[in-house]
Amino acid sequence: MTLFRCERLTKNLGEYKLKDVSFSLKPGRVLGVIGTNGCGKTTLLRTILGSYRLDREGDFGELEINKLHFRRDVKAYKESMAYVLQSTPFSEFMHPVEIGERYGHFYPGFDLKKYKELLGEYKVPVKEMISLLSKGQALRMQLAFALSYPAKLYVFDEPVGNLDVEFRDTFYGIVRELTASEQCSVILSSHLVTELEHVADEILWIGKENEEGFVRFTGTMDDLKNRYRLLSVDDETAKAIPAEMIRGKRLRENHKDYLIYQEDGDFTKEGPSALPKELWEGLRFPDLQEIMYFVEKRDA
Amino acid sequence: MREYFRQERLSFRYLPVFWLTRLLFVVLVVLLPTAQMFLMIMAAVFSYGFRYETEEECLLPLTDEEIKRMRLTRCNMIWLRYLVVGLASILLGYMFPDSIILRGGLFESPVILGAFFALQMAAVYETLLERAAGITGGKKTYTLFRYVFCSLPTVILFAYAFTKLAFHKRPAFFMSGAAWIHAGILLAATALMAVYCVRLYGEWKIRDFAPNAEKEAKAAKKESN
Repeated sequence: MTLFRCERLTKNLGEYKLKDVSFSLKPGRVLGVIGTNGCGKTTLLRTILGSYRLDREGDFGELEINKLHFRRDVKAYKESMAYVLQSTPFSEFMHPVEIGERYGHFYPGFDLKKYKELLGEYKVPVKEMISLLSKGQALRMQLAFALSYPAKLYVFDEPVGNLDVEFRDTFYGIVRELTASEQCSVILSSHLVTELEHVADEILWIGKENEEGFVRFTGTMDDLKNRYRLLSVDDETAKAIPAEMIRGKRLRENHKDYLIYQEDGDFTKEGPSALPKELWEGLRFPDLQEIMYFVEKRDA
Repeated sequence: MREYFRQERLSFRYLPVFWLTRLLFVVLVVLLPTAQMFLMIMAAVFSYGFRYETEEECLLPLTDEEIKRMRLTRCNMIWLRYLVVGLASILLGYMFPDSIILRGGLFESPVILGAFFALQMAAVYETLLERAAGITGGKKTYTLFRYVFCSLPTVILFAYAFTKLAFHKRPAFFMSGAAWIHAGILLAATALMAVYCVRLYGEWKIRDFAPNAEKEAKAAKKESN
């Protein structure tokens, strides 16, 4: 059963285009959205939320939450979502509690009492205007709002960058709690891929080439990591690695690290363009940050 | 309307300074005609400029028609303030016809009345804009009530002003000084609000929340360079 479906989403921003993004999400799953700066992560999330519309020339795509279409069932579609954005979408002249009172009633099941309790728990100053809150406080306020009504899809656009280490831990705990019930799902974009690695079940990796964003990979975290291995060898030994397997290299003191790729994840098979047996022992799993580093650097 | 007054209540609770400043403005405009020039110009300019549009509108579970109605309500309620100003002046003029403070006020000159009438006709035009945008805005009787409510005070005042004209040696139309200044202010306010309505009409289609979209595109280009 699919909770969220995004099909062939293409968004034109004039100078930049996000092209052909397709993925689906089952209930109880966390999708990590990764990519370099300016690749289109925020564009994707804002299009899903409805802030960016698919109405320019060249725009295309279908979005559904629990079979609710983003155009035909716009109200029910948006009611099913909660969000935390990098830049607060509320007027900076408002106060935190005022936001709950002004906008909360648009969302069925919004609990104002719970919202106020969460503001207290997350130590958000309630007497200050939003313009006077720090970025971290504004993010916590948005989180309190998002958790005050039952949503099916939670969209978090780089929420952790401005949070302190302690609250980041709390945040990841909240993400796990939300998906534990298998009633809702989370889409989370972040540059802190080492932390994302521990919480995301699936990955959507957006690459960038010639002013266009495209999907580099979509699938489970395990599937992504299984396709790559790291080898630390000197130049002479590296000549034995088939060129088509190399996805990047990094210079070290007296050797190089090579990131190699195999679509089916089987690095120990034999054949004409396979990895030599003597290199199998040196293979190790890279973490997500290393994979991104090598691949993005090679394409840059 | 109910949503507007709800927001006004919240505004009073959280930003009483802003709310009381507006109330003070209305009191000053009604009681001190000489202060009207400065205050009305500031109000017209402020009303024109203060049209905050937040991303939250696009994220809320609202249809496009509901978002348009929300924006129009903000515009409508600026008119309501002007209407309150006019009505309050008219009432005080009837209650204290010999008052020194109110001399030269809104009810003295037909030119001012003409400007005030134009202001209210623009409010009626706004109702027409709503219809053009496909916003039904409630029952027919409510729309009719709005037309009557907007027009009735001016009709009464015009009748009063023209009867007064008959007893003046010099036509009231050629009154100088404060009356012309007041008329000029109201005409300027009408023109500005009409421009605002036209601009709003031109932005009927709910588009990308543009500031963010353009910023994203520029950031993406900068990154790739």
